[in-house]
Amino acid sequence: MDYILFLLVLLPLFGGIAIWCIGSSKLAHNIALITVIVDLLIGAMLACWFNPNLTGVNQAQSMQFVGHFKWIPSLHTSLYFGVDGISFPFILLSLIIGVIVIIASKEVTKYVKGYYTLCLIMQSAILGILCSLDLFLFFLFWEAMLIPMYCLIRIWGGDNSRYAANKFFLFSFISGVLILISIISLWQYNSVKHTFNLIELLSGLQHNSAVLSPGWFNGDFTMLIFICLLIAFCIKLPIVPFHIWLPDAHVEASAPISVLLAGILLKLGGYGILRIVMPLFPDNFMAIQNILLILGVVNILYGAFCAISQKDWKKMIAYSSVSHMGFVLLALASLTTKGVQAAILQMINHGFVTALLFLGIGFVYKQAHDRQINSFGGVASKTPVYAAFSGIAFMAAIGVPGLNGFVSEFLVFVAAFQANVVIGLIAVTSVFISSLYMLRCYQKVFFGKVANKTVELTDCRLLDWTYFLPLTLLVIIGGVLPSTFLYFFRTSANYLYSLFL
Amino acid sequence: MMMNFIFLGIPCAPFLACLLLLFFGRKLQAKFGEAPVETVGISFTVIAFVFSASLWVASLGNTGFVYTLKLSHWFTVGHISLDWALRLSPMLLVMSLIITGIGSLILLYASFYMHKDRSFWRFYLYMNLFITAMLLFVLADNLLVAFVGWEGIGVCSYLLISFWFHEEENATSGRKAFTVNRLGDLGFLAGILLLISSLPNTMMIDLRFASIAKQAYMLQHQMIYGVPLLEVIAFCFMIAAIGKSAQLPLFIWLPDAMAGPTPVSALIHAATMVTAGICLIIRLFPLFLYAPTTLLILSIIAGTSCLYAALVACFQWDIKRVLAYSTMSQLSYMFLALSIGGLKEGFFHLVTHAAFKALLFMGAGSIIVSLHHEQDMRNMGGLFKKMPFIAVTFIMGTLAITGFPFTAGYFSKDAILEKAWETGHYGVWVVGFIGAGLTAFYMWRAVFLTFFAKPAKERHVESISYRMKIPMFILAFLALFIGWINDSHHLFNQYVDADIPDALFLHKGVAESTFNMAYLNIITVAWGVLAFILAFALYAQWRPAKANDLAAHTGNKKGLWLTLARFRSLGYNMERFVAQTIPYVGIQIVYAVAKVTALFDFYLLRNTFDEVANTTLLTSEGLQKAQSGNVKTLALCAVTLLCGVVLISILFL
Repeated sequence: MDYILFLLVLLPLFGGIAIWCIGSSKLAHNIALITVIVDLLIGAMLACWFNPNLTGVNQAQSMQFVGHFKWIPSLHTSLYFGVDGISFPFILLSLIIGVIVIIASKEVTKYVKGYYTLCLIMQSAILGILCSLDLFLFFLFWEAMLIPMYCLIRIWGGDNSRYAANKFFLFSFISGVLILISIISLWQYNSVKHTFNLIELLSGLQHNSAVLSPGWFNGDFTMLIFICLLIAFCIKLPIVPFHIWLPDAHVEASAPISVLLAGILLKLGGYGILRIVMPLFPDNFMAIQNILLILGVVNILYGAFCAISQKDWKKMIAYSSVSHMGFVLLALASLTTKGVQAAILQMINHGFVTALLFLGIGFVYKQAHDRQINSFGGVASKTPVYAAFSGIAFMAAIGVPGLNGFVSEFLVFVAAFQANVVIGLIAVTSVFISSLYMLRCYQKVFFGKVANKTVELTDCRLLDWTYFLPLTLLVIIGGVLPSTFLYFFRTSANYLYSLFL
Repeated sequence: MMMNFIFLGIPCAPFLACLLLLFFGRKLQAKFGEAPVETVGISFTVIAFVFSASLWVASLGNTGFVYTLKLSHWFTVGHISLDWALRLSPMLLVMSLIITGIGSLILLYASFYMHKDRSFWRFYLYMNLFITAMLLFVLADNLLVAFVGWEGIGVCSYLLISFWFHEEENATSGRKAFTVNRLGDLGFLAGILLLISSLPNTMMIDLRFASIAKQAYMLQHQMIYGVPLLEVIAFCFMIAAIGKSAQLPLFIWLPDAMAGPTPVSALIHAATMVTAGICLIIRLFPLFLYAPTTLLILSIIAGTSCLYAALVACFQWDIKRVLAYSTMSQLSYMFLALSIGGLKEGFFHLVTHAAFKALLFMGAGSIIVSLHHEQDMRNMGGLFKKMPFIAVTFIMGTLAITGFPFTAGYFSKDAILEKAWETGHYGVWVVGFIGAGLTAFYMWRAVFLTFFAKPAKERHVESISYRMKIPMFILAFLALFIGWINDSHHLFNQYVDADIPDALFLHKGVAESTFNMAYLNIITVAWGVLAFILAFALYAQWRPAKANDLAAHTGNKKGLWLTLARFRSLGYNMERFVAQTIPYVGIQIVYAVAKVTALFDFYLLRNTFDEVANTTLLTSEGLQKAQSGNVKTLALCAVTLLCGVVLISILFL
């Protein structure tokens, strides 16, 4: 049992190495697919064993599937893996999205081996981030994501991918540096014990007493580290004004990579805040709660307004992602027990919805080689099945009840109203604004007369069904029976919230 | 057990039809034609109707029952715990009877109307989905499930209005309807959220309709930013209601909604969608009891809408638009009734209106089909002899809506007017009275223009199928006689009371009027007859050539015609201004803000980043030159550095 998480994390990496070594690019897709499916099965097995009543967060004994091994004693760092209710939903999300990404990559023709190897390395890195309970390990995985993602955008991206990939790299790198600075400071200026062990840090640092202010700095040193870490994760989330890497990266990346980017990578920002920032610095978090609330609302509206005037379909969805991630920050900043659950649920739901949306764009793009909203028209009459899938995705994205987007948005609103009624009321207007851009796009693309670009489109084939259908089902299940997801993180989220009491 | 099954069957039957059509509809139509599709599409709603009817028969005599059925747990987060649960009470049962009953008739009617449509199956899919959503809204046990139905209605109306989406215009109308409805939904959501956030954290919140009264009682003295909380919450729900039920200023989607197929208009405007707002306010009335200001605002909005819509209807040439505005004005009657506490009267009018408005829409649809999709009344005329069945049923509907004695509309409209008079709301009475006259005028105008005026040219008239005649016949019967069921028994009074016991104390404390209501009755009827005569005088002998363009009249110099023509163009422009220009400007403002945001994002944020990156690059290139190994450069650097150090030392030491 001690090794189960190692297996979960490293399996994709081994798969990637295998693809690289075997040398046949025909087999690459199948090996990758088998690897991620086996990984998903391991994840499903863990889901069965997972005990949702254990709190985790800052209690070592209630972490599950723990693997703890000596690594670098001089640094007081160890190979420490474990999951709790906070990380487990994200693990499931990334396993599912991982499979979807690999399926949807079937038609990649350029450097196939390299592509799948990098994808699988990404998968390992993401799972590593989600499983590691040691900050040093966390940081290593965090940085391990950087190069593969850069290559995936750069090599398999669009015409302007150099610019986009560089931008992505720079922003992620800044984020990584900020994390590094923070964790070194936490190690160095810890009065209790020099350690990277997150659990030990949490129990020692509970109320900021253990971090000493270094001699060269007079002021609130914990606040400084806190801000550094927060910015690091906000770049990933992304929060305005650090979001500018996102639209470019999305537009240039190919559809499966966009799914990976929006489906999982953005969530790691939110996960970082949940896992590290909030438990480590509850007092600081509370101190700037109002600023964060406002940032959250600004993010929601800013993203939505930007999305309205986009002409590029993918860019519009990218901005809608910015808007939806604003909900996450808003929910977290509300500092309520609903807020924490709402934030996690929103991230999970957004992962599925956005995957569906990006794959939808990819479906058209690979046939028509165009992404401008205005070049399409009448897609629904050529490809009704695809139009139906997309319709569900669009409806979920604007929060139509019965689909998953509604439940989490509703909970976010409840949390926001509890924190501040005015903020809540402003946030609710996004319900209207989001319908403006989503419906306009849907009408332009799917309704009306059949445009030149649309004439040649063919409807979903079996391959397309294999990723549209499961995602659509997840979107519907998330709306009708959200308890299936809430089940995993209810206890941990409540416990996390109790740290603020 | 049997009861549960039947109850559950009401919303599930049409939903089952949806699923069947979704998975097999296209193949069925391609292989076997329309027959199996319409069988599936109609029969399941009929089953739902039979279920409702059997429950209704079983519950006759027992008017006070409330029954809930929990299907499954939805979610629990914090102190909010919600179930998928349904609720049945006499009022809701009547609502589901209307929805499924009139729904079935409309579906039957549509089987001919939509005949030979390429997406016949899709039409039935959407219609059944619509009926499901409406039933879910009506039968919901808690506010959030009701919201699911509420939004579902919006989505379905979007799909149905833009059913022929190949035409850009239809798609735009559908989108407009949905977007405006979203504004209303915003109110609904804000209302729920305010309610949740103001209830104490220690209390388990299930948002059930049954607990609304208790919660309203608890919150009655709470203030929010100096305003009574319940006023704010009620105001939010009021916005939701006027959005769905097409009152000023959120009615703008309604005339455009005529873009959809006519059976859709009938379903949306008569039986279901627009009545959702009324239904919502009735069910949340315990909240509104503590919000007198909101009720006053509601009565002002409804009063204005009533007159506005009735007035605008007098100037329309499109027969469906006349009926659309007529719907808006009739809904205002219901809202007026609600705003003075006349739940029973409002609900009664809802029921009768469902019957006669569905009939009128079907009549209009039949005319449109027979004339090969002609909707302009100027091109009709003299149709009475060519389509006597349609003409007679249409006139029956007209009699009902204008409140001709002993038809359905007579009872319900008079009930509202009487209520207004009894409770001393004379303003409401006056508005209702004027509105009644206008209603009679525009309806008879439509009748004369369509059936009696001299035709512009001889037209070929297509005959219509019995499938359209049967529903029209049934509805015509209902339009004439459904009013009797309430007379003397006060059935609706009891029905509403079962749900809203608090409505009782609205009846208290009303001074008994000594005025004989019979006089009022006679005045109202006489007023309607007057409007009839006016319409007759103006339009019975109306010739299209005379009125086609304004210039003909202005040249004519006849006082009355000139005034009328000017008045007409004024009315036309007013309609355009309110329904087109204002929303257009509003949406353009939003787009402008969006544009500015996007420009800011692109030029300021994005470029700043690029500049920083470029500057870094340039600096590094500049610094590279310093490391060229050239002695001269090195020396220069060294000297510069030295100078700098000296300078700094002098300045700071």
